[in-house]
Amino acid sequence: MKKTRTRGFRILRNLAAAILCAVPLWGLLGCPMPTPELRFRQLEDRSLVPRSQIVYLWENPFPVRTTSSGEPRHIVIGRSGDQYSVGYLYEPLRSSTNTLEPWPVGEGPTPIPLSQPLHRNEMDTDNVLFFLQVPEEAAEAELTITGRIENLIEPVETAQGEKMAEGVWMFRYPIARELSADYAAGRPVRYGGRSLEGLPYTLELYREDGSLLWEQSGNLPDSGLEDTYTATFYPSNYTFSP
Amino acid sequence: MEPNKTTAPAETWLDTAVKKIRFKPDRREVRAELSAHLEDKVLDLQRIFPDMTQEEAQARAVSDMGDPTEIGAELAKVHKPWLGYLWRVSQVVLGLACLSLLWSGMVFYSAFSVDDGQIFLELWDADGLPMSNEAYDMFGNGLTPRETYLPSGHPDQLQVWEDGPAVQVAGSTVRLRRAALWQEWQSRGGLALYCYFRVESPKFWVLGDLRWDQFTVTDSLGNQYPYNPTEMEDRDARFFDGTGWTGGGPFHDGIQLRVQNVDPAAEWVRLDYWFGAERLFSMTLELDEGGGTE
Amino acid sequence: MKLDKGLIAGSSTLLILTLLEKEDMYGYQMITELSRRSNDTFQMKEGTLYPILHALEKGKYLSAYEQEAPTGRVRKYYRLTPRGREFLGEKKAEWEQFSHGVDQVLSFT
Repeated sequence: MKKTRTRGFRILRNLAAAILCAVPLWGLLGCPMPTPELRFRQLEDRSLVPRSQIVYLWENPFPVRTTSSGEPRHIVIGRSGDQYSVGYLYEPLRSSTNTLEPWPVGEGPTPIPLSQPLHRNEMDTDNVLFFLQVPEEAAEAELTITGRIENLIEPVETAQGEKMAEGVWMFRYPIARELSADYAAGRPVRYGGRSLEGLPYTLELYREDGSLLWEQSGNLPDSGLEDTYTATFYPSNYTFSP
Repeated sequence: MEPNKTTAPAETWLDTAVKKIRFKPDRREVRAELSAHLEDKVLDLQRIFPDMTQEEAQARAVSDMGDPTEIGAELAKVHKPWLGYLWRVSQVVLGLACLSLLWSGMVFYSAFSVDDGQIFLELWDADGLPMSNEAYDMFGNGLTPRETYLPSGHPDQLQVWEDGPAVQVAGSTVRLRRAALWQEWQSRGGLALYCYFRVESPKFWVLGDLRWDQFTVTDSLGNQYPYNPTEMEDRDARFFDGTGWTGGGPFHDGIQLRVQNVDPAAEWVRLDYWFGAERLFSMTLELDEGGGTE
Repeated sequence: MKLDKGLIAGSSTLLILTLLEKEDMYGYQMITELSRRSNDTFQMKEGTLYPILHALEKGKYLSAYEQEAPTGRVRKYYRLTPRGREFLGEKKAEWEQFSHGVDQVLSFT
């Protein structure tokens, strides 16, 4: 018998067998998932956290570097009861480095500082924070933070918010090496992903017509963890000692 | 391929008829079938007309077949190549997949490859014991996990637990596989509670990842045992840390904790696992009366 | 399966399917059988048989296998599938309708 099975059957059989053979390889590569939603669900399962409701998904507009200092490709915020889960999702092949961080849900606008600085463009990075549960009528948002950079006395920085989705606003604080007294004095300055945690803030929301809609003050939540993803800026006249 | 086909006209006819068939294996097959037909025809002609020469028979057979270009066009329409190409592609894909399977196997084998089959089973955690821990008896001798967790009648081994209830957490099953309460004398003294957790899931792509720093430990008296992975100066400090390493595989993994200076008056010790303010699971160990004296 | 309708619509199809109704045959065998039964009335160009056979096979009206012929050589035999039998039944009915119509016209004088 020369043609034992039709060609169509053999094609499907080959492809099915190929998929089966590729499964262990997929497992060894850390079981990469095709979409950010699936990766977030995988992260939740691996963290033994029950499924939350995805509230917001952020996609990194910049191509992500594959070095260990690379940024996440996606950030997903899920909500479960009175807790937010923030998932930092890297490249699918680096899914073992994905992390999930909890933040409490507040009444009204709730701040979530990111533990990872994000690039604004090729050269500059920002400390980023989200505000969730921002009322719909807010057309403009202004966030003022006191004491952002260490060693600098009473710096006050105000940032304009960008509306990312309904109820979700993003605020960026440039990592500005020039403002640091340390840097000016010739000492290196370190900035990390948790630089905004615990700092006092004031949030002002304005309506379309410019009138004040809401004002809120408090302290940004603090995870109590060490700074992550720190970078060090060395002034040009710095000498490295052995 | 075919005997008796040394004459040009037959070859030419066949070549013309099949040349438009794009997929080579198909082309070969069709040519063979047509060639067989010509063969039969020639034999028949020679049987019917014994006086006919080989060349004449072949010429007659070829002409009776018809216009090779026309027939070739019709054959090409029937034998579309795309299914053949798809089949080739599927073969290549399967070949690559088999190679990847081989490579995966090698990686897996090298991760688990040991000469002693016994050790392989331990790596896979067939015995339900961690691979190592840091327990010491009163003389300062190191205790193996086997000696630590399995009931041995050792006077310092105060209590042993086995196979706690399993809890379904997200996509995995978590259980306290073993625990042991020991009286320790050396650098720490006091009571030490060793806990061995297992996490399992048939869904290997979402196997849970237990971390020491997400546990909290308390007891019935309200004592807190904070997580402190570094050496503590204070002999009497109450804390817990992670210890040793555990075996596992794609479908299961483990983690080991050691709680230091358990309060002898406590009736139970509870281990909670947290994500932020949310408690994911909780396990309680009831302590027998009269824990540890000299 | 997309087939050239022209190829299998013709009357040759009906003849080929009928040949295979009782017995599996290979290409050359069909040609000789066809001449024999029709007393040489039907003399199609032998090569034109094959596009039709292959089209019918692709359409799953026929299935094929290799077997040793009485001549001692291995040949590709064709067999009628259940689907092919059904198709043959349809074609026969069509033909009967057609030839009946022709008869009626011819006998109308």
